[in-house]
Amino acid sequence: MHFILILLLQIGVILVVSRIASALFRRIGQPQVVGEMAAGILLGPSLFGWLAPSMSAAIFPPESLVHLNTLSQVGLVVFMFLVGLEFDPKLLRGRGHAALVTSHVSIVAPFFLGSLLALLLYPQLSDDSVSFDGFALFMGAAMSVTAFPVLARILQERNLMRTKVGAIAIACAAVDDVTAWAILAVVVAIVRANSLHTPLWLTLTGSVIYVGVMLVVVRPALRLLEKRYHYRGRVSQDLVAVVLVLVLASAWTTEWLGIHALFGAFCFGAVMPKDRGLVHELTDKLEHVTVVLLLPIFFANAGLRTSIGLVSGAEMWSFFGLIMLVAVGGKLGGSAIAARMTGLGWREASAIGILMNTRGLMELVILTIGLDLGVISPALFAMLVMMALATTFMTTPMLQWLYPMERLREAAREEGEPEDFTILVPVSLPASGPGLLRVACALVPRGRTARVYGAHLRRVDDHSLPDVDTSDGPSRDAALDPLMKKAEELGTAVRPLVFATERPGHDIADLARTKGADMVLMGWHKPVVSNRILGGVVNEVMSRAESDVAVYVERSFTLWKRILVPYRDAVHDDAALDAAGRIGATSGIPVTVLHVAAPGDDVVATAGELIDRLMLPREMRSLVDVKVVRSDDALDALVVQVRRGEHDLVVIGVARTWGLTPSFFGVRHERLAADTNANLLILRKHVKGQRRPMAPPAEAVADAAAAE
Amino acid sequence: MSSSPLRTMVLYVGLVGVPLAGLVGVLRAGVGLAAPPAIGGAWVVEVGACPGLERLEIDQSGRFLRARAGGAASDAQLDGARITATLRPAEGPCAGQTIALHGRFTEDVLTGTLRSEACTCAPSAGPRSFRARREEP
Repeated sequence: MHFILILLLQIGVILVVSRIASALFRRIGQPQVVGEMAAGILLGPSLFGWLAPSMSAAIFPPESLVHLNTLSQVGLVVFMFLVGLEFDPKLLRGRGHAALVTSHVSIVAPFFLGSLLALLLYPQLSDDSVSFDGFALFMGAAMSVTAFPVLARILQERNLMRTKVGAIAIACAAVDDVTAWAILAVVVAIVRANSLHTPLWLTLTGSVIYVGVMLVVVRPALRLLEKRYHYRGRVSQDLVAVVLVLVLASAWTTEWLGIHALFGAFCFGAVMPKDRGLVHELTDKLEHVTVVLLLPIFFANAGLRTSIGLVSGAEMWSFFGLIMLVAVGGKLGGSAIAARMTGLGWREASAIGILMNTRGLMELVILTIGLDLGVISPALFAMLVMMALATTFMTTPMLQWLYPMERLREAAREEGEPEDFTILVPVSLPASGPGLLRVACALVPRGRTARVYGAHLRRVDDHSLPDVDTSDGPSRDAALDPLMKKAEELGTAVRPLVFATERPGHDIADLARTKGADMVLMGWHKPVVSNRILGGVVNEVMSRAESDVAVYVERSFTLWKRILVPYRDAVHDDAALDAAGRIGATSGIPVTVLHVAAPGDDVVATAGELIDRLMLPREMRSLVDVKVVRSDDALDALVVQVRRGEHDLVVIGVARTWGLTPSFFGVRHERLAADTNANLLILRKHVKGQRRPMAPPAEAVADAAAAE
Repeated sequence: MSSSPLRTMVLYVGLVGVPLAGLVGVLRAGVGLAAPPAIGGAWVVEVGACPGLERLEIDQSGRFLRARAGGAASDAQLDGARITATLRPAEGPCAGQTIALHGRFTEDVLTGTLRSEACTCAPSAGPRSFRARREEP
């Protein structure tokens, strides 16, 4: 069979098995990477080759693996660039001595224990073509690695980023990442020098010059890219091409110097500007193909070289047991003890140890390099791969056991730090921009900095070319100009984004995710085919966005004087209370809470509790008025109240109670909008971990059931 | 717990400095260690080959070996420069038979004997001597 046919078949098999394994492991709460690592091993001689040797040999003939290996190396180069791109030196600043000591101990302790283990393993599992120094240093490096990307993902998923545990863990992982790669570069240089590929003096001198050039010349020069990005407002294809060429040049240089190509890719990512938008967009553009296509190939390539059958007999398994003991004891134990001794409680210290013990993909990368160089033997490689899989697998359940989700939430609340509050403001009608910006600024919680993205998504028709560069046309200015002018007046930095789309709802939701938006704020204008506020694009965004969504219906352009928040008991009413509290706090406008309860029912919250939920500063609590109304028809009671004209802004949660539920079609009359003239701010709360927040809205179902 | 700079420094020296010193000690201690000779790779039997066993492939993980010959693989052991393997070829006149290999490794030459209870190629009464040379990569 022609090599391309075999390669395509291999990639197809790898992708299918990888996606299935990832999905299965995600179902048991494991990170995707564990499934992908397992998929690689399953495809190799350990399972597939053992169960169906002839089929395995037909799909993965040894002579064809060179192509797979090349593809996986290219994927790794791009991936290591992305890992470096995620590395932010700011993570290391201001973390205090706990992070400093813990991070260094989390490297040195497992490194020392790994090298100590080498004293036992070298005469057993190595051979005289490898020097003891190279072997011991490699074992140390392999034991001290932490998977920064996996750890960051676990922290994000568990909302731990803003806790002390999360901050120390991420800082330690960042230090570990850089240190492990620096150590590995030294090990590779030593091993290659022994094999006389490159003189050691050339490698060491060249490496020092390379790092110096990257820091002193390349890093400042890359700010030009950042400026270009801000000027264009997005990452263009040309910019991506320039970045990729520079990544390849950096990787080529380090490979030529005798350290590894991956070090150059990582290093280039690390010195890239850390503008959040630039990093997000670059990552978004490169991540999909890398993570979905190329990384599974790397995992399969590693799995095809992993033969668990080589680990046979009590003696070999006892070596594996020792490796596990040293890996977990050194990394988990070392980090936990260091964190404890620097003043953290045992629970927090252990959590840091567990997180640092995550090895994931990074370990596999290092092990593959070791196998390629001949520093580790195939049996030792298999043992270390199993160790990487086991330590990554154990992280989530151990963390869950030690630090249950409820406790994490408490920690996140107690230890939360002020940070950017990111709002994505898609602008359809240029005139609505200033009003939306006013709302956006008012919605930023006290103590947090507004980060506003103004987005204009132009629809494309069937005949238009899919060339995103056409966004430089005049429509950008026309659509976003009023918003940008208002931003200048208010002194608020707004980042403009313009691109063409066929599915605006989908793309707004994707953009919100890419930008890490806390909220999507949309305007509403009367569409051609429907009168519904929460239909069409708005409905799509509400259904898909993994962030809070607010829709502002502007009826008058005057400043607000008094805010009304209707409240019954649904989750989105709490979101409305929260938003009203924020607007009240930033604008100093009085807030009225209209608590509607059915006659004879108890009210679900006292006036004091409702005022507490507004989270207003103490001096503003006197500006809050709580009004309890008894009515069977909550919507009617609300309409009556609004029509009195005492309030010019109604902040309201999406709920059937208020006649507001999103849908594509439907004839439900949005009476509040039709029967009143107040400005409306409609809130849909995103519940973390809920992928399709509004499909269907649980409280709407509950309300409907109650009504029946 | 106090977090004075002095305490941090003491902690740092204790938790980082001591393992680093230990690492230096380990590297020094390892200088005298000897690993098994590297014999992994393909070997061509130049003298005394049994049909189907003209080529021997060895996967090495330290002193643990995996020998492939005659279309089958089997575990083998390395003790110093001595190699011991039990081959069970899947093809050739000795297919399905057990052949004991005892060899000695010197530089790029592997010499030894093949002995089998059932295969006439290497009768147990008179073991067959062989000589193999490492195949050029």
